[in-house]
Amino acid sequence: MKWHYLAAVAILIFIVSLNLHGHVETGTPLHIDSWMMTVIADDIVKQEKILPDEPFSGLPHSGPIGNPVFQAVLSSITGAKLLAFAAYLPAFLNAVMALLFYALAKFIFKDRLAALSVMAFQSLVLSQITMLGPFYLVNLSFAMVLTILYLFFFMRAKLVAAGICFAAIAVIHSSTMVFVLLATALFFVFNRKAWKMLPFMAGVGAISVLAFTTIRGSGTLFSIASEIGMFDKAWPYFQYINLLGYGFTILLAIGFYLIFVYEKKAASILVPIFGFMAADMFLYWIWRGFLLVYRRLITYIFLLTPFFIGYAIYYFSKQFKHKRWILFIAIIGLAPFAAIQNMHAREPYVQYVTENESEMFTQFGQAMPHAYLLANHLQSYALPYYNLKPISLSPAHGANTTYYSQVGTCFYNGHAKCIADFFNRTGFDLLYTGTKINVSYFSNYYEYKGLIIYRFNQKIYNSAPHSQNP
Amino acid sequence: MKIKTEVIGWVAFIIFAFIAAGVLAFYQVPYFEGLRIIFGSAYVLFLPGYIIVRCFFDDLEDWIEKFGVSFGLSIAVVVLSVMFSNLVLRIPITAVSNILVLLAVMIITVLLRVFIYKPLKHKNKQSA
Repeated sequence: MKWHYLAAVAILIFIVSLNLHGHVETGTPLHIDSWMMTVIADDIVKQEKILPDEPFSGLPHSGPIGNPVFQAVLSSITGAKLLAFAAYLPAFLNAVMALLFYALAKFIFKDRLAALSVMAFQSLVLSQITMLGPFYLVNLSFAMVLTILYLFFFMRAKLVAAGICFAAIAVIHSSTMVFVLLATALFFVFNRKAWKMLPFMAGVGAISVLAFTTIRGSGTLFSIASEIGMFDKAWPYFQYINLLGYGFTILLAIGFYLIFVYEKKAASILVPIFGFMAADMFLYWIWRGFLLVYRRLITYIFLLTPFFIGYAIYYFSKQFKHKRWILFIAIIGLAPFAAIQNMHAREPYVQYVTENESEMFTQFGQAMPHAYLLANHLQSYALPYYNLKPISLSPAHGANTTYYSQVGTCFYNGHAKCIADFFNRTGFDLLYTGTKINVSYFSNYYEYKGLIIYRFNQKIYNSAPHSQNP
Repeated sequence: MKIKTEVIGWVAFIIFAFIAAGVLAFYQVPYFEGLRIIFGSAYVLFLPGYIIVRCFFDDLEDWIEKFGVSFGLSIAVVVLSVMFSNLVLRIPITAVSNILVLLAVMIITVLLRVFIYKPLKHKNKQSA
């Protein structure tokens, strides 16, 4: 077997192991957005079609739904449970991303060893991203894979395939679509020889406008154009942390210089995009960014860093006779530190729905399908997965907050009477919070391994003196 | 020689699938369900993209590139084809319909390769 296949297999095993850690132990999605995608996918499977509204809020989808569609197809054909995908699919997607990093790097650097170095550093560097990074089964995970694939086809002038990738990105993640559009435009700005492909730019521009207005409405498009920004400034959720992070930053700068000077083909695509992203990030830090203010897109600056860091290490190893071994030793030496730091940065793993709660909701949903259940916002979006209808006791994260103004503050302040008044007024009768609350007006309705779903007790409410004090 | 390697690869995968389904049975996954998961995953995650690679990108020499591009293209093709079939053609999203939609995509890919791409390439070579 050729040596580079063995090296690739070793890197893939490392990536898969790193990504499975945490997921396999918990068994349920570890991220709220990941949970929401699972619930939407479940709704698609149950309804056998794509519905215009979110199952947990009743509102139109807030973003593209390519991710849940993919999960729904995979679940329907394999028969596997959707909850399992949140654990195993991120590992698969990261492995695919590594293969594509190799493919793109091999094309732009024209060297197999450089490609392997980039592939290895994809796992070491990208894994440093925590929130919303490729560890979770969020839209960004799919979009990152397709971005590298798009660049692979675009650089090879396989424009039909690139167009297919772009269309897929457009229906999976809007922010990534903007990033890819920007990357394509920058390439043309800095590469006049490629202007014969400009009609392609018009094509992807048209796809993006169509996709964006279809998904988010033309109002959002005009507001973006007028304000040159989408969201308020907020601290980015990434951790490029500790000594290893500083080391990688230095290597990134060295790699940027080396690619700029020695690799014309690679520089034609990487330098403009990375330069622009770096300028934008700097402006975001000191003022506010432009076009890409949305903090989650900053992840893409890290998507490009394996090229620079991988090339820097490859270039140094090339100065030695046994370059292959020097490179492997460098990667093997760094891998444990990157892995430990990555796992440490992700912890503690937050299970929004524990395994016991999942079992309880499953059984309760079978016993009382489509029952309305009041729960806090960290769990209510998950309830449709269990055939229950959510009413959120707290705002955020998209679950049905129609009644939040009536009951939310009561819940937060622990006013039992206020909560009871709400139940009496609306006719809802089931409540689960997972934490201790004043249950004076409630009876235990369903118990499972110490967890309790309460039922509003009309008799107690009617017999209680109706005073203003809680 | 190339086709022989590929056939060996597919046979190895099938053998692996039957063994892996047996391993899954130890984890209380029924045997035939295990087989369905493995073959179904290959059908969704790999096959559509691989057909496209074999038809249009056979110049990729490296199996690492071939696998990466196959998996990536499968994701794109599955998402686009099923969204199109459901939203435009009103085909429901069920196991059978999804299998048929993806099968149709693969057949169309092969037909495009045989009847349009190959003659076009031959014509370009002649004019060059």
